[in-house]
Amino acid sequence: MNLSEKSLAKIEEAVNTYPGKISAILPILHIVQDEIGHVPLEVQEWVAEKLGLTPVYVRGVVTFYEMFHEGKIGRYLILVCKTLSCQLVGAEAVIKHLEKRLKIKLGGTTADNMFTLNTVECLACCDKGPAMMVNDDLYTELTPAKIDEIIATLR
Amino acid sequence: MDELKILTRAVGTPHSTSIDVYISMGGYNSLKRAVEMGPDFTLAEVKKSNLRGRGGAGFPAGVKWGFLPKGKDVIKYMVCNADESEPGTFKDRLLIENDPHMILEGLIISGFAVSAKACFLYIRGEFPKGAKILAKAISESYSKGFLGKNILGTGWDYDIHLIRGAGAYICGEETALMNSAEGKRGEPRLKPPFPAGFGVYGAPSNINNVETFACVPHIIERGADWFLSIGPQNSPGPKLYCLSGHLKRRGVYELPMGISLKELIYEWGGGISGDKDLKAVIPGGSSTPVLKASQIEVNMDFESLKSAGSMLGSAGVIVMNSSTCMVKALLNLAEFYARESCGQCTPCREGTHWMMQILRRMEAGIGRQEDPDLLLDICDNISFKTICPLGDAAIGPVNSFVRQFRNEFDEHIRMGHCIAG
Repeated sequence: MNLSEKSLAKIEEAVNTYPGKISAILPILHIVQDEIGHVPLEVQEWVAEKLGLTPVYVRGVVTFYEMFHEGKIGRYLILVCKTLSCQLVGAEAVIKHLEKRLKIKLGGTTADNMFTLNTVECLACCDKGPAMMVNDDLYTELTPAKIDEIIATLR
Repeated sequence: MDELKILTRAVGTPHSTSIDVYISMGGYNSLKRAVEMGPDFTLAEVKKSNLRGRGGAGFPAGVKWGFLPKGKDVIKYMVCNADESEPGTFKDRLLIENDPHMILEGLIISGFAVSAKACFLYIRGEFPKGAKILAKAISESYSKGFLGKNILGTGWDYDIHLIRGAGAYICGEETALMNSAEGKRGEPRLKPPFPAGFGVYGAPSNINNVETFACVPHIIERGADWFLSIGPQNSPGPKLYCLSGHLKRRGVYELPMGISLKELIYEWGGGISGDKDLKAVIPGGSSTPVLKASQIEVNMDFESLKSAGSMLGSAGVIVMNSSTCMVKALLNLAEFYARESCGQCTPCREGTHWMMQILRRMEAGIGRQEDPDLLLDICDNISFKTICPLGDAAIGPVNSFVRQFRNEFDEHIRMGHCIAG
């Protein structure tokens, strides 16, 4: 598998960490996705072999969890919290602003493959809504100006 | 009354996530005390404290631990549910990001009390920062000898395995979490067998919420009687209340169990934002039945809220002011449950989507007169007909919104748009 030495080492560690070997599947998928941005079928086959599983088992796991992507997405995945506490304080306006600013609809990716925009369910920071995650980073108390600043910084 | 500083004592302290700071604040002394007094004392003290599970069900933690088979020869696991995803709940994030060692100490003490072999700490995928903090804390704890082999000379070995979820609300359900930790799809299991007999890898396991484990070091340090002296005896201890929605001062507040909902909203939350009146409150996270403004003179503990027709749940208080459209608010929650249903059981998989579609047409102005009753009928066909409680969680808001605000639903359908605001 074409992964960095560091990721391969982390994967080896995961395989040997848990009382049951298969427990390493989520950690491995995270390590792979952190490096290459998604978990395509060939990666799934490699993980299956590594853990003594069938590829279809691994695919069953990958497709169960919303955070794993089988296909390529933008370099930055923007996930706007859409659940009630954030909706009450303006999540819809945040989504509309991002759609306008990035010229894409929810689920879409910008032409330069920089941004993919989607919603996420409750991020558990309801006191600081509206909120969104961009890859691993959380942004809270969003306003149009703050969103523009975040996008400009990432570009 | 001042805010309590028990579970939140480290919030605001610089470098509070580091083990040295934690130790300088008296951290890991409770573990030393537990080791000195022995597992039986530790278990008895937690039982006596009447610490009730903070994840929502309110089951006494010590009693639950007591369900595990005795003896060091039986392989047993502790499981910590850090899959905080119930809409309106954000207390575990605060503890994880500010005081990870308090959680770990609770996990080690509880593991010691039941002679567990290891602990699975399952954190939701959307908490990458929390996962990093916990991973570092775990490694610090190993290096000080609070984890690993022969902990504090007891001859007892204990590991904590951190597992990150990957975006599935259902993994907060105990058996789904265990399946996920085992490397499976996070689908709930049929019960019985219960986790105390058949948990992770089929071994006896005990699972509690982050906040529950966080109480444990304090109970061991200050005693069960101290814990019982806070709040009502049948529901004692400090509690983290999460205030969100239309409030002037949203946030997490640590106060005794049993504080009044009215006081929470108007004293601690600063009252309703936007110069509007209060319309409705969800008191314990999205699945708990909504209360009307006239029902807020209720105490925030398991029994009192049950008598009021709702539940304490995870104490995620979502406040809605008079401009809120109840159809739209309910649609938001219906979309949540439809998205998060794992699809295993037909009533939940189909029912949550039907409810969402019916609410969508109502919101779009093409609702039918019979729709409110149809929603209630679907609720009835989901209730207690699924493997796990997600189905019942999904109907909690639907049943209560429609019954409590029936006029608004009927008017919304008749007019084709919202009458609130």
